[in-house]
Amino acid sequence: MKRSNKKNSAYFHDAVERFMHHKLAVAGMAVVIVEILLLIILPMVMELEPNAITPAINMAPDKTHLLGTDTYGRDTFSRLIYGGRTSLKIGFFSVLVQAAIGIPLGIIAGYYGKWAEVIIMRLADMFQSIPSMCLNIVLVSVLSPSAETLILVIGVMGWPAFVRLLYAKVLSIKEKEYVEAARTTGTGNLVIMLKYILPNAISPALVAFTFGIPSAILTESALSFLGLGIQIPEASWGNMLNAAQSVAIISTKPWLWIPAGMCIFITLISVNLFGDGLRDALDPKTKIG
Amino acid sequence: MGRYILKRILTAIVAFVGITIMTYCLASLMPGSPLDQLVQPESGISNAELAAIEHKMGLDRPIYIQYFFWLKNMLSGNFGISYTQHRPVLELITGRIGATLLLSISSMFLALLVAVPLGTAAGYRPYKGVDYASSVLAFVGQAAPNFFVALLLIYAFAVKLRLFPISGMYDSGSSGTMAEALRHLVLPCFALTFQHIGIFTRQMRNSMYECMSDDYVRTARAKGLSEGIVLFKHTLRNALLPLVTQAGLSLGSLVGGAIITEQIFSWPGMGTLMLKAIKDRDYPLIMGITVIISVIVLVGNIVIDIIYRLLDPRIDNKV
Repeated sequence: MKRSNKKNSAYFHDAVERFMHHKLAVAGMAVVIVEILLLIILPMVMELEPNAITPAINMAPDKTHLLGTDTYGRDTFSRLIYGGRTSLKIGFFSVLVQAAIGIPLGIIAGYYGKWAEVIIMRLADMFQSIPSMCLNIVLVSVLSPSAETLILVIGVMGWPAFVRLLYAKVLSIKEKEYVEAARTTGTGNLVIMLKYILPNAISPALVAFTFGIPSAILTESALSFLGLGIQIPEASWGNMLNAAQSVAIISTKPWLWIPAGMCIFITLISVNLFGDGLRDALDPKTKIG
Repeated sequence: MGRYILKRILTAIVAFVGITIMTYCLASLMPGSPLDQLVQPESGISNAELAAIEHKMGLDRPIYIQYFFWLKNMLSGNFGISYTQHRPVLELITGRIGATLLLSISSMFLALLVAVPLGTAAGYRPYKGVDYASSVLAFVGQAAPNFFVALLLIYAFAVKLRLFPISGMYDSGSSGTMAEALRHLVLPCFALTFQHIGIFTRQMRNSMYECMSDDYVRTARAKGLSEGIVLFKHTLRNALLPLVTQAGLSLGSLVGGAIITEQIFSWPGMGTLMLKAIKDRDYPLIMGITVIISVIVLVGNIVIDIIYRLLDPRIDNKV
């Protein structure tokens, strides 16, 4: 037991070292950390009122309103911060739902093979071959749009990514001697899966988790942009862009939509860079280029 | 090859049935019954007549029987009547399908047109200028939401530069020529494809990079073949294969993205029709569009799979 711990910590030490060499990945991680800290701390130290309707409508950015105000006189900067909290929260929790569905299914498909594999992998194929945006739209409108609905819908529609990565990893793990040894000593399948397979399949799960977040944020913001996601007055980066559906606003009030769009963009690019570095660091064999 | 295609079509049929079941279940979860739309409270229909209509429509049967009714009707081309537009759903969809296909297919081609040369150049000379430029493009592309790209394009090319129109497929009041449609297509097509340009370029770059170190490339060079022949005849053909797979994987998100892009540019396709149907809670129309879009993606995937098989003779086509 002691020896395997040592081996594990050496592996993670190497992984951290490999990750730190990946400068863009470190930069991506730094941006994400700073962003999360800002989203947590700013509402504590500044007076932000994302939903307060004031007579000062359509104001250009100035000292009191850093990013101006919208057509209801609401402070754009406050909405940007609160919208970010909403968007990140939905991104994180919907991937958590994906993981809760995808990790067990991926392990079962890889470990049992045969019918379990056929059914689960075909189901994953089916989910990936349908245009998920189309079903997302239908689902969200059936269930009535809210943060909880979005988390559920994005979670239920997005699990195949986890299944694929976990399945491939489990196929190689189950041939390992320690699994063989456990089986010959009469260890039950459930125990083998939980105790021997799951801990060794954690790195593909982490990678899938990281890459899942930007795509979940993208889906949330797209649905909110269409008016089918987070409903006003609650702010999200996506529904802030929804305000820019008229040419007049696009051309004369860029402060209403460019900051929210840039926030989505910067978040996605940072998490993607971080994920790229993480994947290369955890599994040096898959590194390309 | 024939057996492979058959097997592929059978899997697609299973997926199709799965999608119809999901769509039907979703629609039956929606509030309200189809009768609400047909029977207004003031029309004074008696309960007996109501029951008769209900029976005729099969609404008094268990849900799985209703599903088979619906599936049977749909397969014979009867998608029902739109609640709000009072015309057959199929007629509404066929009026819009051309615009969506034009947008999606031209976006797919534009992405390939940019990604193949750029990715090839990047993978051929890794860690040089072109490679870095393509990496930047790839990361930017993957992180840019298509609706934000669309708004930026409108801001730059329609508002500031006044180069392209931003709404519809033809100028208002015109009879509509092909050239006019193409001019209207530029911005939505680019907005939709931007993300895929990034993904495709990265895929092409990586597979080109891997192929360059393969044995057959070294052999070809050792034989003294010119660099051009090595590149175009030996490497590129193999490097294109993963891109074909990627194109298949991206088809769904491309068509899904078209829904949003169409909405922004008021493009008269199935996406705008669908969002309107959602707003109106027009269930037969919503179900019809979901099924047709899924069929387009499933068929597109089969076509791409067949192209892959044709390009790669190494795969045993008998399987």
